[in-house]
Amino acid sequence: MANVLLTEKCVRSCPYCFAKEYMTNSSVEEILKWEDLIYIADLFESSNEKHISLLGGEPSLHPNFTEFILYLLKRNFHVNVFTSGIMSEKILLKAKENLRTIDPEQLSFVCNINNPKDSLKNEFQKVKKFLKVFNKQTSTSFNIYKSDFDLNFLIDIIKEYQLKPHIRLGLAHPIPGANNFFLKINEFKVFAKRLMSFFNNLENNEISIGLDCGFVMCIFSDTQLGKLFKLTNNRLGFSCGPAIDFGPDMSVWSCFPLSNIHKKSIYDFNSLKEIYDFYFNMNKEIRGDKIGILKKCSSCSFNKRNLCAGGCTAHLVDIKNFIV
Amino acid sequence: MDKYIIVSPYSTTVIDKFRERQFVILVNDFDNINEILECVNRNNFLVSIQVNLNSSLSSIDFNEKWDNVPLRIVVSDLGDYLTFHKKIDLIRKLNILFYFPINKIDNFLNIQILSSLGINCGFIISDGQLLDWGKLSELLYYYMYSKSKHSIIEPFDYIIQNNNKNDIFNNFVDYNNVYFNDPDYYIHIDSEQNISLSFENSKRNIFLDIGIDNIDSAKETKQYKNIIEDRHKHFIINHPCSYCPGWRICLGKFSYCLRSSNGCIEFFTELFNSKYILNNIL
Amino acid sequence: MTTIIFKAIEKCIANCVYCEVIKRKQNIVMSYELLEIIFDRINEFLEANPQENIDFTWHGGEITMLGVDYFNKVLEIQEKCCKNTKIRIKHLAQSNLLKISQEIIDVFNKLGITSIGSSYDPISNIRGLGKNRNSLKYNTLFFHGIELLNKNKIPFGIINVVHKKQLENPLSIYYFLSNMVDNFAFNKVYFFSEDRYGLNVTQEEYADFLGAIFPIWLKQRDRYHVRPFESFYDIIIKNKGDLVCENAGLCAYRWLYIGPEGNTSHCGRSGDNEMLSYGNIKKRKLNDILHDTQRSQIEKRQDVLISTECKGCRFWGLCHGGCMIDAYDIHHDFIHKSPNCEWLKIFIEKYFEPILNVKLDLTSDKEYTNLMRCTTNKNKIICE
Ligand code: SF4
Ligand code: SF4
Ligand code: SF4
Ligand code: SF4
Repeated sequence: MANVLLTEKCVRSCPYCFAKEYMTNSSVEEILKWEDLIYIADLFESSNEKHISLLGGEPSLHPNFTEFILYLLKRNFHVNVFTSGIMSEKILLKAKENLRTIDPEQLSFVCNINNPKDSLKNEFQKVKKFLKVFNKQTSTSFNIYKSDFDLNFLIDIIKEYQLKPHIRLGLAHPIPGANNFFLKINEFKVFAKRLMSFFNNLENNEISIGLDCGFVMCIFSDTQLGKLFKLTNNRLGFSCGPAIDFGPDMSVWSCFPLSNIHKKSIYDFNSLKEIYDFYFNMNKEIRGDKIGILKKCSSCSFNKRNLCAGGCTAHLVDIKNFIV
Repeated sequence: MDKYIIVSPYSTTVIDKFRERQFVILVNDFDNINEILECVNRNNFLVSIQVNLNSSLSSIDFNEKWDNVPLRIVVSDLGDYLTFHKKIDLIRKLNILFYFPINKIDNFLNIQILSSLGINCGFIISDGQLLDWGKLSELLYYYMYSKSKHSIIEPFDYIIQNNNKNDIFNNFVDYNNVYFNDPDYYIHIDSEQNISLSFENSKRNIFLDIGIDNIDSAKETKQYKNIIEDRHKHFIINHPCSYCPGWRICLGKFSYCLRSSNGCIEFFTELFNSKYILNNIL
Repeated sequence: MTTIIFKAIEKCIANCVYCEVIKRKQNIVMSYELLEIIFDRINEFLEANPQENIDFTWHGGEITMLGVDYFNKVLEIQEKCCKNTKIRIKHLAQSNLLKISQEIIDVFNKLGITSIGSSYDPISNIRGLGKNRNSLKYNTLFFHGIELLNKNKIPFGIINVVHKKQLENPLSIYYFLSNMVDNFAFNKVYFFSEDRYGLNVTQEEYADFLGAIFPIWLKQRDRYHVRPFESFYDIIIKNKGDLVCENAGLCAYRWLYIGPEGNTSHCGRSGDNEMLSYGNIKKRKLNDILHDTQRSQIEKRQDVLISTECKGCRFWGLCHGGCMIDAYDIHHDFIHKSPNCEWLKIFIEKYFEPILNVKLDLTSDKEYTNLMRCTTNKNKIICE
């Protein structure tokens, strides 16, 4: 599944933001044009990809946010929207009137929720309004950028709003050449322990989690891996991209942390597979013989057996070699 | 050739004068759609009802009962997308082709949206309109090279189909055919039963001197011969259109544009050569 | 197969700059008596040679100026003289189309003429009417003719003579012609007499003219039959196809020219230029004319050239030394190669080979038996 950025405008300013770096490099005014959405939909369709993820910035800031979703649905795509849930009354109302009754199998939202303690009050008020309207279609997402994070607040929100019982866990990665907050390699073990401390609460509330790219396997003990197996509904993986993101200016890149490296135009390719292959090879090239973020990765049998990719490529980039 | 197809406003008197004829009926609203179908098909065949509206597509109150009626609807634009969206499923069940005038720049996009959603559509160029050839080329590229399936866009579809035929006696394409405006195939009868060879002639009161019982003799008339001769006028005077690589499709329709730009040449050449590109020749 | 180039009239309504016939301004029309003699001769020949057929090509002047009655008379005479052999006579026609009418088309139909060869020039005042060569009038009449042919579903082909004024924009010429018709040919202009208007083109100029068009035609080759491109392409790439007479090297016994007074010659070109007389048909049988001793000279020309002037030439299979009339014009005998092989060589080397990434080696005919077949293809109505 590839991601399409509708706009680069955003309503928040998260310390870990992986997109921010990319976004400051390009014009914020750029929004995805209708013609380009049709082009992308055609590319997906001809590549036999039935899933499209929309993101931003904040995708709902695109003036045709609702129209685009409806359009893609009419073309039989499964649409998944990554949102902060922070929307003006007007946008929310338009979305509510047109999207609320759509089958969650066709349209889903992933609402990225920061701990209310760390964010502005009225920001969270808006998120709540969103959750109230779209609870049936929405699951949550949380980005980890420090090892003393909290998930209990999220479990409470899921229960209160009867959201889909799932949390997507993202790991904040370093963005080569930038200065964002991210989890350092030496904090990984502490992070693993912290994550496992929420096991009972999650398990008791039947909430599953999904690990996004860049997590590594050897920071968990076998017992912890067993628990993770349950928590992730048997979808445990320690992978690294390429994710494939399309910018509103029809550029394409591997994933946000690597967005400064080999950004191409969508018109350079004929299918999603070509794009995927290109960035897959690029990742391999960047890693070279280092294989993974740890020294021992190069001789790790889990890596050889494709059980763990060896962490996020972005940790391995010597930016001097790549900045164009 | 087969017999002329009659293009006329809805008039039972005209329709009932004929047997086993094909008809295109022109109306301005949806009041009598099913009645027209019934009336024409009693003794003749309905090719299409063309509804000329001055309003947006989204404002049309589509009716399930039209599912057997071949409709061409000329709209001003798409209108509100969200309203349109609610009607898509019904539209897809009906047999409709929507025409958009492309003197409105937004309609290029509207056509693309409709086509990509599987709804047949087309564009209309008004008389003497100075065209945005770049926009038209973009639409053509979409039509020809889009990676996934989409519905037809007229007149591209007609042109490409016919351009692919190698018929040495009809080695040009008059795409006015899709507008029921081709003197080789369509004959126009107005409400006063005047007969003419095109919408333009009808509008300018240039009528054929033949009776309604005798419409197939239209090809013997001076007017028809003038039209045929007109096709050669560019060659006779060595007009730039005569050596334009896109002539076989354009037939010099845009020679009035040549003063301001040569965009037509590139556009029609592309269209003409689409055959080789599509068939991967060299 | 024998092709008779039959010139019953030399008069023409037009006044084209490069026309050799019109310069003679002969006002003669072949008499009915002579027509009868000719058809008798044909009958006699066909009866004696049951394996033979005759292509009877009506050339002018302008044949439509003979009028409907004349052709009706031809029908009558053919009916009378060739009762049993007439099915082996195929009539073909060359006309400038200016005076073609429904009546003429009807009588052509009766004669079995199913296609017409014509000529055109997109440049003004090259082909034209009257002293000033009014091409506007010419073109108007010509396109009337084309409308009539289209209406009657009679296919036609166009020969375009390439002259100095066409060199400026070869593609315009190509597009003009291809907009008109699917079947056309380029011929280099030739002047056996004085080039009064400075229209001659050099071998290189002609090759470059063709070279500018060739890549475009190549893309469109399924739609347009254009000589010489198509014959070269068919022979070199598809390994089949026919060459025009001047390049086929097989014209010795194939052609026969008959002029309005019964004078005979080798072919249209020699007839028009008053070279190579084979005597008058009133006095000679067809078979004798077709086996005139001069013809064996011509046949020998091939054997001589391949071991002398054309020895080792890798274009031989496409060219065969070219047209002997060209050679005669310079050397006053036929046993030389034509100077017109130059454009062919340049075109193939400079354009055809690099564009198609092929290299010719046609030094002899042996491996290329297909090249031995001659020449004007009846289905493709261009005959030169
Ligand atoms: S480099 Fe790999 S792990 Fe890192 S963000 Fe990209 S896809 Fe994810
Ligand atoms: S590949 Fe590297 S990070 Fe992954 S389990 Fe092996 S050693 Fe650990
Ligand atoms: S495209 Fe332009 S130049 Fe060509 S025929 Fe049409 S109007 Fe003439
Ligand atoms: S190209 Fe010249 S040398 Fe070669 S065969 Fe022809 S005439 Fe002879």
